[in-house]
Amino acid sequence: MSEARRGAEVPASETLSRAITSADWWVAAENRVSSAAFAFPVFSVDIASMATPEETLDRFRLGSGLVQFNAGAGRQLGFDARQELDEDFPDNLAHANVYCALPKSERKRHAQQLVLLTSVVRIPALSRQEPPLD
Amino acid sequence: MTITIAAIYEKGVLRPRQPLELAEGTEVRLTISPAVGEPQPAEPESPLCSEIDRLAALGPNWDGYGAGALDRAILDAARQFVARFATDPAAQPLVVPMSNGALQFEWHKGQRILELEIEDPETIHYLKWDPAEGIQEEDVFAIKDVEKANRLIHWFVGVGADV
Repeated sequence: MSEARRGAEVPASETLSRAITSADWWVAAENRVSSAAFAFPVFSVDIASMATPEETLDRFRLGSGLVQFNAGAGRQLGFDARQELDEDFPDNLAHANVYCALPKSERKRHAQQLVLLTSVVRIPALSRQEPPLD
Repeated sequence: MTITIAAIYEKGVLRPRQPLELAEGTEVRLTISPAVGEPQPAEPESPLCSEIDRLAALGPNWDGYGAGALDRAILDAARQFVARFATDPAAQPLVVPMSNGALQFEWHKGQRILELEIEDPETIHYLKWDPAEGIQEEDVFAIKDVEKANRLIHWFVGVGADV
């Protein structure tokens, strides 16, 4: 979506929830999420004040994990959260897209910094052999 | 159309070492010649190749966010890549799928992290990260630059000097 047509900026005070839907995105030995969970240049989150962790996780594969980070801190790193509908789940008013406008040459550093901002709400309990979704 | 592929014979079945762009049910004619002594691509039984094969089987929406299957050309490049670099068995990387169709190899030890992302079949985008040492290095290099890859891996495992 072009910058001019993006949704409202998510207030800096909000907490954002990102579901960890692949076992491969979880670094079990270090108990942290992989930067791969933060897709470039845009990824989906829920605004935590509008959706409980359970409500967010209900939309994903059973066993998915959940991490959270502060919207304002993420924005300072270049990850701009905008409240926008999810076409697949139009009833989810908590949905936001997080846009990363950083040059490609800087995205991995910033994604790793974003990992440092995250707190773990739910550790994924997914099998790496999980069949793909339909 | 004639293509030459590498395959391995196991338990009465010939298994291609890379995906084939053939429609399901296509009948083919085989001419078999032993590959002994020829350069081999990825060791088929290596854990890294098994991981790549596993990721190759991921279907559409594997991430629940609408991602497509991983890019076949990138998977092939990853198989070739792992056949070239020398990994310390004690420091095997994670093989991680990306929602954009790429994959990356990740090494983690505390705050020390190395990511080698095969972002296209010719290029690796890497992150060398150790905040305690003031290292936050990100750049790209050609996938054929095995020496660069090995220097980065040696840095991670603590062998040799900086790259």
